[in-house]
Amino acid sequence: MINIVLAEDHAIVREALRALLEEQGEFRVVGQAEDGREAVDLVACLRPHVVVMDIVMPRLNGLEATIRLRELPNPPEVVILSQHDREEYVYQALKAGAKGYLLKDSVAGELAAAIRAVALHERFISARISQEAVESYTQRRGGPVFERLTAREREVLQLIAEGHTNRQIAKVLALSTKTIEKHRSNLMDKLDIHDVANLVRFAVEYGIVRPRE
Amino acid sequence: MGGPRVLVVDDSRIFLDAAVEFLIGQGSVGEILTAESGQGALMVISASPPDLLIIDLAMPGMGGLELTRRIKARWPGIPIIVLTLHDSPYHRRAAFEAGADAFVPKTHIEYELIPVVSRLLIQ
Repeated sequence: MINIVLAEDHAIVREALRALLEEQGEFRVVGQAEDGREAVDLVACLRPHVVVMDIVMPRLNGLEATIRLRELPNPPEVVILSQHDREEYVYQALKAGAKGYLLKDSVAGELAAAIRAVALHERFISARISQEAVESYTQRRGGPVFERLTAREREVLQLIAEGHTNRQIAKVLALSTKTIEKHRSNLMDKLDIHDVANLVRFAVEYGIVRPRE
Repeated sequence: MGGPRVLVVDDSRIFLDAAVEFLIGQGSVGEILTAESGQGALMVISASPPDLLIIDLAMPGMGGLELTRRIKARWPGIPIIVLTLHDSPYHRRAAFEAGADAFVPKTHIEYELIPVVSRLLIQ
């Protein structure tokens, strides 16, 4: 039996994924998280074999959560769910430590195979994405601007883009408002973006927050 | 109040609760009713027909296809969206042959359901 934690912010999608997995008879969903922070906490307690992780989630996105999970002793393998088929997104997910990358519109047909593969520590990427394109992208990659940020700065960026104030961010991260102001100023300097509207645009472009309605 | 009334039919109470939360969160419907079986759904519709139905395909007893056929025979004007875990040409064809107006795999709900609901309510 392969134990799985589902991390996805919509309860209705989590429930669909759970039903899809449990009817296979070889998977057991041992926990469900509605954001990346909860996923990290749950995994530390439940020690699943595999985590199925949405990228776009509030408070801590799936890529950052994956980086943290992979720092745990005996970490679980991670299958990322994404709507994006561009190789840049796949590269970011693999770099974060994910072993699987599934397009959301292929989930019904590919999820079981992806979990079986990553549980054996093998890579699985949706059939619609060209493996060659991903390899080639990975090899010619320099260092995207996003990677110049520290993990803490990326967390602060996501929370700013979600519309939180410095005080709210300080509370979520258990830091002082002054420290948040410093991270904010540093990340703006590194990105050369000096207003919130453009920070939001940048975060949406990198797929870590949804566009505001 | 005053928005369209939607009836969701699924044998899983957990799924129904999640569906209500999702539809309320999206803000495109006025009232959401639920039924855990085909028979329950027919009773709700007989009492007061909704503006739209969302029906799970796989249910014990009266399945989603049979329920869709019965509803379309008595209330042909109510649009029906069939939901299923399985996205295959076979399931799609069966749903449309039963009279469904749309087909949405459950794993695509996050980004397909609301546009389909909006389209059917406008028609």
